[in-house]
Amino acid sequence: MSKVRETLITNCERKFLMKCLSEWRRLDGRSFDEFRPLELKFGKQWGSCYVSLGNTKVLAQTSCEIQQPKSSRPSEGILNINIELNPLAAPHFEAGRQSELSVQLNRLLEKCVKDSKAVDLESLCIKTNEKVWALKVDINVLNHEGNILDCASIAMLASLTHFRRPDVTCDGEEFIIHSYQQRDPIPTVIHHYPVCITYAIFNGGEYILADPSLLEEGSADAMLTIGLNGFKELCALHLGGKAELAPSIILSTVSKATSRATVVIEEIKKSVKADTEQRQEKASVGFHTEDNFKTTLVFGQSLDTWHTNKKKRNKKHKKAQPQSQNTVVIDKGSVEHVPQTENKKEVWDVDNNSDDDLIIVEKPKVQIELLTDSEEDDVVILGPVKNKK
Amino acid sequence: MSKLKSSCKLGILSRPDGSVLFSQDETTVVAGVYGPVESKANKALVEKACVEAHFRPKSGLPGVKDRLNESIIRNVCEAAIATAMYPRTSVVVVIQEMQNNGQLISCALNAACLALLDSGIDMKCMFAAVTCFIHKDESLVFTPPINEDQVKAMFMFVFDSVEKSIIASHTDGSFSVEQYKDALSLCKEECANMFDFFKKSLTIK
Amino acid sequence: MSEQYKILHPVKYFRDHLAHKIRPDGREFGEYRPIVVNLGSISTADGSAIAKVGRTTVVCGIKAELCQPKAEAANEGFLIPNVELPPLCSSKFRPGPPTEQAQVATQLVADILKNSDCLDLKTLCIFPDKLAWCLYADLICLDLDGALIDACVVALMAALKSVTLPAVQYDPALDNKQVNVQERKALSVTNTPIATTFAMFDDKILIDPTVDEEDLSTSLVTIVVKEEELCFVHKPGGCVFTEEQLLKCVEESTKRATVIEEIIETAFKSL
Repeated sequence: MSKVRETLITNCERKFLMKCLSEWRRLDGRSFDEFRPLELKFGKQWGSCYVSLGNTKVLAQTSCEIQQPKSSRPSEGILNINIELNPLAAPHFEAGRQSELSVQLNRLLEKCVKDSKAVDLESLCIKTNEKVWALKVDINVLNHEGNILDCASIAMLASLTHFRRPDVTCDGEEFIIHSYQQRDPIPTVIHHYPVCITYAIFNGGEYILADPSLLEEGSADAMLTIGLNGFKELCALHLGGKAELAPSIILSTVSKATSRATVVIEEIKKSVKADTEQRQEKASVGFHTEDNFKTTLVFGQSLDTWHTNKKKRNKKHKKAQPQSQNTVVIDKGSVEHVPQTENKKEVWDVDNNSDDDLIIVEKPKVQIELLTDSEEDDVVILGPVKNKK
Repeated sequence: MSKLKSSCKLGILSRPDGSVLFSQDETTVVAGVYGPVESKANKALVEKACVEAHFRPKSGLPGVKDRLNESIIRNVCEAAIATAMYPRTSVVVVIQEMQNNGQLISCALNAACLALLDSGIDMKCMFAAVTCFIHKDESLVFTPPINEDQVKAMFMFVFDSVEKSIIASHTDGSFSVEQYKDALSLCKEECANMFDFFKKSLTIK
Repeated sequence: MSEQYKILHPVKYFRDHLAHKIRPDGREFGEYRPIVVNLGSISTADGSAIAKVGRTTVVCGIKAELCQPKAEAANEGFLIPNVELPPLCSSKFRPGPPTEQAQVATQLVADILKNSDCLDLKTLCIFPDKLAWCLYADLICLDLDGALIDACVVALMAALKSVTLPAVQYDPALDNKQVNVQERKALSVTNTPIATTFAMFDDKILIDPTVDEEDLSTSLVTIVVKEEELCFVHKPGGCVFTEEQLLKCVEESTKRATVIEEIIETAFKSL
């Protein structure tokens, strides 16, 4: 039975981890400077973004409302950042209560984006001293597998970049807020893109691991978080923990982080651009689209089960033919229920498509993946998969 | 009449015991289940498991409306989980809204059922929620209309998989008894499709 | 003796009663408790009422304030209900922030008001985008003995009908408002939604349950009726109802609604 309390890291685990590190290995097979795969998805609403960094998953949503500006800054908009440690992410997270961790994460994100003046707040002003836009970024952590901060900072930045606010025009004394249909919404002006990059430090700087996992995070002596933007400028630097670190190590880590920052920022820009293009083409966008129910990487799927599954399914389909509804398998563990169509032939077409989806793996490279499913805990090597037909 | 497209992906989160990404039409939620876990002393029940439900909106803090959703989710899950099997423990169901297009509660409930099934917790029955709408022109549909003003009433029913009886009912707007009956029988028909969908999703996994 | 029996074996005690087709408080299954309505109970409020359903007592006070309408709905006022369950009403509650039950009850009452459309919020607007009435309806439960929503809705509807608002003159050019307290007008409440709660225990349906019955029952359902139309059928889970059982409840609640509506009307006539 798992516990509501936070599970502590045992000495055994810690010793094993240290032993692996002394052999220059990490438990998940990454090299010391390697980051977990990053994936960004956007929702239907503007500013809704889902980011996964390995198995750490975060949802960010930007929203806006009109407020009176602060009297100390009458011509500037307001940016609020709020991170929520959802009870979904880990059993010891409590709903609606601030913990030490959430306050710390919130402050670091604020430091990185707000204090570095990444968002142009003056452009959010509608009328000096009276009305300004207040942007709010809500970040919900969905799955905690280490390094929430990096994942949250990417999600926040992607969400802010993706967000569009409604247009406002001034008619004498009255302000008219135009709906998204009436006028094209306005994107937020972002001067530079700062992202957080975290390293775990062991043995006073002997081992420095990029993008630590939950276990690495828990057993590290210290964590070094570096906020960097695309111009290789440092926006935040935070060293927490109990390691004595030589300044030269910090500097060399920062220079390592710059190349990662460029990659991440490019990825954010690229994904937002791709999403905007899709919207312009009036393609359906959002979390409900089929792509999200497919896995781009194959996790722990042995070829044998594929075949058995397929046989089973073929039988099922024959049986299912007279059924009024139609359920389609997109991928392992992903099923889609498509409404009934009058044309029976079409129903079969959809079925065939689904079979294709099963066979085509989106990245047909040779992949070695660590299994994440708890039931099947061994390593499987998959070769390039071809369409069977 | 057009029916809704549902999609699901089981086991998307690594931490919870059961999790699912579920979408119906354009409404999408993520659901996760932790259970049975150690209960807090003040919540533990002697003879059965305590079911906790959390519903998180995607922006802002949960309000009074989310409390009502939570109470519906909790009560429905409590009816379906074999709580007597796990005395002095808690079963925590968490729903995260991702995208809302009008049938959020039924989508959340269906996701909760799939997450419970995924977690492998003992259940007395499955449950499926179906939402339907009455237009201003008295027509009964499953897809939420684009313009909210056109909706006269909304019905949400939850059925159990054994006897197809009503576990929960929630309505919005005013309507006649006849319309209620019509909606009930329509949703009852549709719930069979949902159960088929659930079963299929699990066999694939 | 029966006191001890009730405490030691609450379920068996209850089941034994039901086996004899009678409820522990002496009622039959389809028999509801007496209802008392008192109008104008709080002289300082703009409208008020006390409703008693059996022992469940809810007092409702409505306070009207002037405010600015929301930008999204410039020609509408506000009606904000709030249900409070203080420690006074039951030993279940402790002082502190509102409990989940209170929050759920607040949302249910707000939903019922919205669904029934009994008060057009546009009538609360005095001048679009500038001035409107905001009605705060505070419902405080003094004694909780089951069927909370039923009592809340009766108290709220009686209180709403007794509200009188002073006439307001508004000059948008000068942003000047004049309130004439002498000249008061009643609200135009278009219909009266009435809620009825049912409890289910071992396939037996009990109308208007007491708190003991609610706690023991496996499932509750609340049905709100207005003028031959349904406006809320809320069953938040619990054990299953068949279609026939649910429709029977709908029928019963329609009958009870006409009776309660008459009670409220008679109360007003007696003023």
